[in-house]
Amino acid sequence: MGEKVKLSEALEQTASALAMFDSDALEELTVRLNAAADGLVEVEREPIEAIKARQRILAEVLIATEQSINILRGLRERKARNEWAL
Amino acid sequence: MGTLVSALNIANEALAADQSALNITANNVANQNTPGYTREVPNFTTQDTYLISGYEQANGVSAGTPTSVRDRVLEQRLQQQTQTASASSTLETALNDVQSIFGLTASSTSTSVTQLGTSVNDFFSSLTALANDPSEAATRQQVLSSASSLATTLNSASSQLNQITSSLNNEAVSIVGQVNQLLGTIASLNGRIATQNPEQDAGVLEDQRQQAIAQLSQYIGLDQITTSQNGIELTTSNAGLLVTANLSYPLTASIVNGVVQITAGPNNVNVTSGTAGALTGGTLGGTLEALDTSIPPIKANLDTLAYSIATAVNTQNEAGVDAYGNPGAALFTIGTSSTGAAGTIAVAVTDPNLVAAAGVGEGSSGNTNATALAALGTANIAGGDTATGYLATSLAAIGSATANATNDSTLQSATLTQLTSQVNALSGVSLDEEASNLTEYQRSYEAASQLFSIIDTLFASALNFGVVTSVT
Repeated sequence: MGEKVKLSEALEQTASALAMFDSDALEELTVRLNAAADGLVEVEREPIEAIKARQRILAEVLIATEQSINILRGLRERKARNEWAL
Repeated sequence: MGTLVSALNIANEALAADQSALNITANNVANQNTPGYTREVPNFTTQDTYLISGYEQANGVSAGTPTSVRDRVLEQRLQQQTQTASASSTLETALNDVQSIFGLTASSTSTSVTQLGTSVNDFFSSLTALANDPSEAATRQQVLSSASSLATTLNSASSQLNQITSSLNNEAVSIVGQVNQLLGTIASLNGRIATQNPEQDAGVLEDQRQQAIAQLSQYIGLDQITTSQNGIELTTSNAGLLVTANLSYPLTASIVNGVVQITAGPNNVNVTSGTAGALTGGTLGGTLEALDTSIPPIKANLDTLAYSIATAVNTQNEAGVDAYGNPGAALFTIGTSSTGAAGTIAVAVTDPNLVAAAGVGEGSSGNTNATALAALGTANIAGGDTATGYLATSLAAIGSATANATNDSTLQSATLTQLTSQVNALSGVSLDEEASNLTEYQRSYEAASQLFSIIDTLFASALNFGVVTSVT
C-alpha cells in the first residue's frame, strides 16, 4: 500500500475541479478517496489547519454553486415558460 | 500562513470561475431571443504554480474572458448573401410593379389580354372599318375614339412608370439615410472596441457591431476588412470607403432632373449605377439596378411604340384627303423624337371628318388612304416590327425579366435561410444546450458534495495529534 492521499490536496483538487465543472476529474477523485475509505490507500497525516482551511474553501464553493444552480434553474424554467419578456 | 493565504486565494479564484461559468449560462439563456446575440462559452485557465519551501503549489483556476461562439467567415458569407438576396427581392418587387402596369401576371404575358395590346388592336381595327365604310360618320368617330383610347393608355403607362421611378428615387434617398445612421453606429462601436477590447473578441460590443453590419447588408453591398485593434473597415463592394476606425463617411443622395445620384467616400465619388464604382447589392443596389438598368429600356420601348404609331399614322393621314376634300393633317400630337413620346402623345383633332380616308384625286368619299392607314397595322413601323409585334416583344421582355427576378429572388432567399440556420446553429443560444450545461453543473456539484462527505469521514485518520507539525 505505497500510494498515499493527502486530504488537503484532495479538497483543493475538488474545489478546482468543481470550479471548472470537471465531472470526470471529480469522479477520479471519488474513486481514489473511496479507496482510502476502504483502507486500500493510506491517508497521509498532516496539520489540522491545512485540512480545515481547505474544507472551508470547498464548503464555500459548494454553497455558492448550489445557490447559483438554483437561480439558473429558476431562470431557465421561467424562460422556458416564457413568463417574462427580456 | 502562506498556505492558508494561498488556499483562500485558490478559493476566491475557484468561486469566481464557478460563478463566471454560471453567469455565462444565465446570460445565454436570458439572451436567447436577443437579435444578434452570440452564445458565449467560459474559458477556464489553470493559474501558474509557484514554489513555497521547495514545494510546488497550485494556484487554482480562473475563468478568463468568455469567448463568443462566432465564425467570421460564415458571418461575412451571411452578410454577402443578405446583400444579394435584398437586391434580388427589391428588383423583383420593382419589376412586379412594372409588370402590373401592363396588366401582365406571372401566368399570363399575352399581349392581346393587356389594355395596351387591346388599344393598339382596336385602333387599327377602327381604320380597317373606316376603309370598308369611309362615308359612315360613326366609323370616322370610332377612329378618333380608339386613337384617343390608345393615347390615353400610353400616357397612363408612361405616367405609372414615372411614378415607380419617382418612388424608387425617394426610396434610394431614404435608404441612404438609414445607411448613414448605421455607418455612424459601426464607427462608434469600432472606437469603443478599440478602447475596451483591442486584442480579443469584444463580446456584446462585437455582437452589436455585427448586428449593425448585418442591417447594413440589407441596404447596401459592402466588403469588410479586419484591421488593427479589433477594428473593421467597411467599403462598398467597389471599394468606396464607408467606415475606417472610428470614422464614417456618409453617402450623399440627391435627385437631379428626376435621376438619383449617390456619392461615397471622403472624395464624394459618384457610385450611382452605370459608373465605374457603382453600388451593388442590398435594397439600395436593387433599387439602383431597377432605376438604371431595368426600367429605362421599358420606358424607351413604350416611347418608341408611341412615336412609331403616331409618326406613321400622321404621315399616312397627311398623304390623304379628308371629308372636306382638303389635304389630311396630323392625327396625333407628337414630339420630334421618341424621348418621352408615350407621356405626351395625344389626339390632335376632334372633328372626325379630318380623318383622311380618301386618296388624292379620288374625291372625299374614297377609301384608298383609309386602306393604307389600316395596312399600317401589319406594316413594320416600330423597331423593324409591326406595332403589335413590337409591343409583344417588349411585354415578353418585361415578363421574362420579372420571372427571372422572381426565380433569382427565391433562390437567394433560400440560400440566405440556409446560411442563417448555419450561423444560428453555431452562435445562437439553444435552451437545450444550456439545459445540458445545467445538468453538467449539477453533476459536478453532486460529485463534489460526495467528496466533501468522504473526506470528512477520513478526517480523523489524517490528523496528527500530539505530533509537532509545520504548515508547509
